Amino acid sequence: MTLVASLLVAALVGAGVYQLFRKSAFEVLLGLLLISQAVNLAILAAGGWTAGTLPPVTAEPVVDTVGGTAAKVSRVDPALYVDPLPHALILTAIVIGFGVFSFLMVLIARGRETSSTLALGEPGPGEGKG
Amino acid sequence: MTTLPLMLAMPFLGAAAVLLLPQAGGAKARFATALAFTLAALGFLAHATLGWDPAAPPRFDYPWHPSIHLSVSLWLDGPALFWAWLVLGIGACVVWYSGFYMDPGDSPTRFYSSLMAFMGAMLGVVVSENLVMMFVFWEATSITSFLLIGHWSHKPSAIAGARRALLVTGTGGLCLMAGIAVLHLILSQGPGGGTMMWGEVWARADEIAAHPLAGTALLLMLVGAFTKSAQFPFHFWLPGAMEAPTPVSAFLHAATMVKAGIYLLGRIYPVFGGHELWLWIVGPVGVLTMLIGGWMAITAYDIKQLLAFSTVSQLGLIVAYYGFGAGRLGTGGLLTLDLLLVLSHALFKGGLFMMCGVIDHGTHTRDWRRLGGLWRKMPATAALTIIGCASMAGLPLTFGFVAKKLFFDASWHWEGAPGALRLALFAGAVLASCFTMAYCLRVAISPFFGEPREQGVFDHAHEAGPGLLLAPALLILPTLAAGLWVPMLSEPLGRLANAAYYAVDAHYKVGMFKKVDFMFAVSMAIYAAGAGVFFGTGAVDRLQERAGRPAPTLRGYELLFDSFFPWVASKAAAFVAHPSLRFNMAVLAAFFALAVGWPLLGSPINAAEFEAGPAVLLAGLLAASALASLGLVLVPRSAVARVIGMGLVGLIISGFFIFYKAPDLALTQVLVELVVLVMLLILLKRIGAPPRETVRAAVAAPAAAIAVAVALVAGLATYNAASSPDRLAPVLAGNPTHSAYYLANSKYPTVEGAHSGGGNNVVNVILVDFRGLDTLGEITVLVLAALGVALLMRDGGHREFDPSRAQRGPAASGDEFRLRPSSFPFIYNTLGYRVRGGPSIVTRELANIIAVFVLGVALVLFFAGHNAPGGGFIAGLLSAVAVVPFILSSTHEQYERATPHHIFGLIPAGLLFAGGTGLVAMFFGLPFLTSEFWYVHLPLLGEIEIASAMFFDLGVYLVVVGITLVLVKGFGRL
Repeated sequence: MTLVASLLVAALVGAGVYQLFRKSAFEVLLGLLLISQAVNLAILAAGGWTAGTLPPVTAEPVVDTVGGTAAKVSRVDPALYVDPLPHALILTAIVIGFGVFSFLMVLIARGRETSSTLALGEPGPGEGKG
Repeated sequence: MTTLPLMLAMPFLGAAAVLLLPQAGGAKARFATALAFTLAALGFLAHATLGWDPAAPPRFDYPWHPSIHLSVSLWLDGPALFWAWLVLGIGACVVWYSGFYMDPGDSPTRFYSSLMAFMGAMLGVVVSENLVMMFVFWEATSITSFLLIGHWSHKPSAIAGARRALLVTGTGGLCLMAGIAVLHLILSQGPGGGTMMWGEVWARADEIAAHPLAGTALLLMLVGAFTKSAQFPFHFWLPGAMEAPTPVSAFLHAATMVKAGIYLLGRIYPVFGGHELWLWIVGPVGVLTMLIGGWMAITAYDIKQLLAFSTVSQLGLIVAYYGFGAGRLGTGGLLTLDLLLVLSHALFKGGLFMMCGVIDHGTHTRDWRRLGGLWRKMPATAALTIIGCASMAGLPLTFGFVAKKLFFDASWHWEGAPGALRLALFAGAVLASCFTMAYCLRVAISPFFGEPREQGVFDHAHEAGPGLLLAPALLILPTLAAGLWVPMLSEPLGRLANAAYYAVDAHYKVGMFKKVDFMFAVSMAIYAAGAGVFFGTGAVDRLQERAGRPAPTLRGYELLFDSFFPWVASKAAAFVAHPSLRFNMAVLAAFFALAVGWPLLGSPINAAEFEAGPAVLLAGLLAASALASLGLVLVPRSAVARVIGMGLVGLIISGFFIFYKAPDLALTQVLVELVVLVMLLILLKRIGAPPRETVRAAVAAPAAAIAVAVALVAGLATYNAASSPDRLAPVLAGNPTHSAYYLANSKYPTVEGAHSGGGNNVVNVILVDFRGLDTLGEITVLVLAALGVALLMRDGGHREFDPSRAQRGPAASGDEFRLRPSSFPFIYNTLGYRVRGGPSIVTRELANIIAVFVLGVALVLFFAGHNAPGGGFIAGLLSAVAVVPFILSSTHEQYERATPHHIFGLIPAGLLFAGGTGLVAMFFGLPFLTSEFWYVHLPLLGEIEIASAMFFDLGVYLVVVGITLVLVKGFGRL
């Protein structure tokens, strides 16, 4: 599984980086989207893959009642579950990425409206110094 | 319970209230609000004053970060009490005056809110006991001053003046911060440990003064004080600041803000007053500033500029007074009466600036060369101005006379100073006072007496109403008959200062001359010489013409900020940044490949992960289809096809999330991909679906090489990280990782009574509980992104939604928001568009039904989220997705009507809700964002759990819904 995921990460990153070298802002946007997908997958894969573990939703019968009182104490065995931390990190990354990409899209659309080109940051004949 | 925080909050609340007022109220409502909050603050101050006890001044203390001595500490010791009255008293007069002076159409919201924010910041400077807090408020005064100077932002001179003031006072502020840091360093090396509190600083004054770094701390703080109080060589920003509306000049640049430096000098005098540097810097700088300011004021013809230079001069006088305190520390004498000087100047100068505004108001000019004979038309204005000038010149019977006498006494009897220095400063001060006399005569005589210099102006001139004259009268009239009340005031004022610094019980009485002595002769000589200079102004003018007028330090500032820094910045930018974006990208990517790839080269590849099984086979198939989709992104010429490929890649990644047992992730990913896909399609429509460009061979080869290198490194790094045996090392060694802690304590604590999140879905509990602060930061980032989108939309005036057009209904909707079927008619049809004509009614109705259904699912996911996959993010995204079919199937106007503008109030509401939940915990004395959960027993349903984290999650939900709507709506509007 790790191998498969790593290969996919490599493919996505490669395609994404290549897209970055295109002139059009739209193509660069696609590249960035690909890279962000790849990074999310990489973080998840780096958390490791072990067959047989459970999703990080702890099962209900994990409770001990101490001395007959209502106080409940957890007896969850962390080894049974996958690591929840990468999930939380990636969830955050997806949502923030969504916000940032929306902003980028609007920026591109506005740029197209005002300058009638999608070309990014290559010096024209008159500029290029300073 | 002290009311200090309430008093300090009043101006800030006033600023917020002004901002929130409905548009309909106009300038009057804003004026009334500002005045009401100022008076409320004054009320709290009066309350605190009534029961004021010098031995135990009111204090408010909230420990914030005790280990680095940060605290929210307010106090009202003697000087703070005096300054608070000064700020709020004059503040009330200024707000009143503004109500009559400012043009109602002149952005009243911006004006009054900035003014109130400044008032709060200035009040904060003087009532902060913690030095860091004082510094924060100090900077806030610089920023609000910047806003107020640039109020008339259409004037380039106003922008330049505001910028100059901000840069100079901001630089000084940084020096002050460094000075505070050095002071803290000195203290933390002492036996008592570090502190940031004024009281403790004074108590350990000897220790500080003896430290080798004392001079450094003093110098840095002096730069802070001198920039703020416009002392040489930083004085040049103050005349430029006169571009501000006159009430602002009266308040900030005469009465209060420029005196913050004076305030600071008063506060550090007990610590550094005996320092050698104090002796050689403070007095000379003060007298030099007096001379420069006076010299420039004589020949100014704009009355406001004249007053600005005179302010520079008189701030120099007060600074010099502190300078004369060098070597007298501990005698309890001198500084008991510094507050008299401050009060005297604040009264007459604040009042005179207002009078200058009155003259401007009545004649539409401030140039005395165009005025004359005005006393016939503006008698009250003339009388008040003349009284103010008499006080400024220090004529007998006025407050200014008392202040001048104090000053010259201190100068003449300056023991502990070298004789030459004492005499030189005394002579300089006398000369500067002659200038003062001359420009006071200018202001008092030229506009009001003689024949009108310009008949048109004179004919037009009219007296101001009582409303406008009230505020300056309140300030100027008390300076009369000072002989009666100042001696009464001097003792309590002296005690105010004394209580703070010294145990010495000093009794200082000041008053008018009682006998003819040396000082009397000096005063008479000053009056006479000043009159001489006044009549010889022409000669002075010619002299200045020859010497060159602009202050040399202004030239220095221009060289530094307008030439040198931009030059450095452009050189530095040219050095680090290549003009070609591609080139920069290549450098970054290559750097990544090398920096990450190099260490990977030596690491062994762990083969243990080559496991097989049905899941792996399935994953392989998924990966293959992902590669195929990737091909769809890269190869076809059609942009729509590539966007579809993009969406497919995203969906397949969500399949991987399922393999990795991340249900929350998979849900989120699917939803985000859906919305992004729709947005990309709309974007394509906006930018005209560009066909794929071909990459030139010269670029393609290196680009491909770099891409392959980066890809290899990324894949290898992922594989290595995932299969590294070190990954589990801490667990094997018996050290629980964060993840293990989160898993074990998600629902119930492992140790009885300890904290736990109260939910079974560990990912959700991490987001809303364990790492709630991170999530709060995250949704704030989202809010900023939405703000960016909204701002980008705003400028597109031609596409702004016009309600009048929406009323015309769908028939008139036209081309505003309709995807044009292009090479992929099938997709647009599926999304709800017929090939010809507008959206079909059937799809729209269907969209409504779908939306209701999807919203129901979102509701379930939200409530399930704490214990099962779901939660605020996912429910929020899903709710927004529910709207997407509706957007696609309706016209622009229909959508605009369905999402009224106030729906975007969801965003701030959600943010406040999430933050507010965290604050509730603080009310119970728990750290910010501590969550709690309770079990409620309900009939039928049994035991129901309510977690406070759920309310936090609700905030997250609201923010996500609001933002997705803004973003999608933004696209609809493009």
